Amino acid sequence: MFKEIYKRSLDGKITKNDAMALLKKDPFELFRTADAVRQELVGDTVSYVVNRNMNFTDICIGTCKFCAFRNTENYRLTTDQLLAKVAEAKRYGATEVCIQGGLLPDMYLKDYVAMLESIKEKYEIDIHAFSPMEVFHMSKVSGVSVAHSLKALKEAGLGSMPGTAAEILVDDIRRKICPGKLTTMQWVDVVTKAHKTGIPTTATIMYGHIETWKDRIDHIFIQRDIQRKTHGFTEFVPLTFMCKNNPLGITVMKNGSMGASGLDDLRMYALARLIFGKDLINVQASWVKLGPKLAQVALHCGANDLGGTLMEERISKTAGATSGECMSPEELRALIRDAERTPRQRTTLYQDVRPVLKVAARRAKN
Amino acid sequence: MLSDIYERSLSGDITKEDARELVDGNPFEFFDTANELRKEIVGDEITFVVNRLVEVTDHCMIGCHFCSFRNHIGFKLTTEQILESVGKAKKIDATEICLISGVMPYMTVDYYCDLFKAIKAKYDIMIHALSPMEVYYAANASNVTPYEALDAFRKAGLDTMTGASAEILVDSVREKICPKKVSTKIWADIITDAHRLGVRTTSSIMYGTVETWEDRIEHMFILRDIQRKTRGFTEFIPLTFMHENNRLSNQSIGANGLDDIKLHALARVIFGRDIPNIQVSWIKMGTKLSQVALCAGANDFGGTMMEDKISVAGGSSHGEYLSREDLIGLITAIGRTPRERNTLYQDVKPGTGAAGRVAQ
Repeated sequence: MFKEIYKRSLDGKITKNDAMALLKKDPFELFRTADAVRQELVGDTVSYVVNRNMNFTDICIGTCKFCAFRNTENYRLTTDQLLAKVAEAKRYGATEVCIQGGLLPDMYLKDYVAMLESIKEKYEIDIHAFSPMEVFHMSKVSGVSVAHSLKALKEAGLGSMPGTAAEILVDDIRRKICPGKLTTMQWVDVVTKAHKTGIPTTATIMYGHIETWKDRIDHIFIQRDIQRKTHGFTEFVPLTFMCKNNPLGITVMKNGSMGASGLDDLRMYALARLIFGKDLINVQASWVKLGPKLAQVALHCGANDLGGTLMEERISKTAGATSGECMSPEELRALIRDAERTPRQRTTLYQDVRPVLKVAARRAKN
Repeated sequence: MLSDIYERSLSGDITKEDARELVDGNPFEFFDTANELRKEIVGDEITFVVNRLVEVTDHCMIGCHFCSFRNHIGFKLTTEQILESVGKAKKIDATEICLISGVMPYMTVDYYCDLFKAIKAKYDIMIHALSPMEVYYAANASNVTPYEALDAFRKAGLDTMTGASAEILVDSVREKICPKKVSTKIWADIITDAHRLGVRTTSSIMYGTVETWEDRIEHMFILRDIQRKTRGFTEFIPLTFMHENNRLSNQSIGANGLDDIKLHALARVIFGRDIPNIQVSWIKMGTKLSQVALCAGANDFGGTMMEDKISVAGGSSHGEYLSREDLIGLITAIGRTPRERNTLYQDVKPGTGAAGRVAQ
């Protein structure tokens, strides 16, 4: 174990130079150090959320080059269809619905607000919805400020926001992979305002395409600095790039790469754990993108959360993910126990919740 | 790094107790030690073979409990169809054709010999086929000894044999997962016969069902002891259990990802200089976990495959084909040097097909 790094991580004193230097060292020592910091900060429980993912439309005016989802089917869910999905999620025992969409040219703040209200009116469920890009977009087409939109969304029942659309928070890279998206400064602005409005968000990174390790580290430090000001991030979610069916993937594959290597995925988890230290204690391994087995290994390299049951997942799947779209709570718990850790069902905000299990549900019926 | 383990692995003195302690100890030091051993024994190259798997039929009279392939589709290829697959393999300059099949009563010594001769008559390609179980049943069906059957196969064109049907070489486990397969002793005898006849084989383990780490360790020591006598194993292939659609599905969800890595690392430590090549099975583990295993003791990426209905039936979702270029990309991504090999780990010059054999 790197004792000095361990100590500095817990003291919040990891520097960019430390991070770069760690990449050149024995990866197993790095993993071991990150695992020890994880152990110290969050212990041996691994959390997960019972949630349902839904994308209300795949129609999008965006031009992101890594997207394999946009305009593939050209669907747009009606309010009734959306509510039917929420009802399914409730029956399944979900505590969260995660809602994101493509950017519709004719969808205004009032439509987003109406969507939230229609769900809240009928169901008691945490709504985790709308990326910083969607908030930015709805504010622009509606001619209102971001702060105004956020306030309206919160009042309509928005519980938290996915910290997606972050991709890589380095403008040089953004110009190449998502030229139409908000800039680094705009992303930081929306997220900071969300936190100030009382809307917590996740923090993400989408890595493994054309960016360098320096870009990734700059990105993580931007998020760490936001967190030190607002404490509004609930978790950090590394999203490894999926290279199928999208123009960026073609570029990446032309260079002889198929995305981040499995070892680099683990390095990402370990580095994130060390850089965030006590500032952001939850690091999520995405089983959809990593696959269950590599996600289990990531739980030994710094991660402490396995994400959600999802129920449906179109975005990674269209880009070549093959690990399925739904993991039952029982399967998630088995995966966690199998990795010799203790499962804990949580809410979106990492509060405890009594586990929803088939067995328990059956007993309750009797 | 665990210096004592490192030294004793190289001198061939690892004990079962050492192995057990490694499994229970800190995984990261263990992986680092296996990685250092890999560096010392085989260097920084990662080998791969351009091959094609051909599954002949999913009809099978054995009925192993971990199998999801048996009667899954219900197909049987004709000799012409098999030749067509070999032809396709030759088009990508494959150097090896690997035949895998269910076992049926009509599969006599002559049946296999005719098939091998038909392939060899048309194509210059290495035939990697059969396992001790198929040899055993064919010999029985033809009233000859396994040794005689193997000799006939060799003469008909069999180049190398697979070390499949090993599963776990502990009879109490075999009773539970494959009661109709050959016993540990018969498996070891037939493998030894093959090696004596000059037919080299791979060695494998199918783990993650109901066995314990002690069983896995016992299995690897049996293989190590055979290797010390015969030098006939070309490589060791850990095959992680695919848990969907079979009779063991409700008993195991398979090994966890960390144990997959441990199995590869442990193989490197136990086999030391005896079996220098440790292969990852990317179809079963996925390419990313395979890359991690290659940094924890393994040194071979296996083959291009082109098909693997067996793993797919068991729930594998990682695809069935990686091109030569894909493999090279995956290898260079972890900072290692790709080298195309043939079944016997001889060099193959890219694009020259079975050049390795000519040089032999």
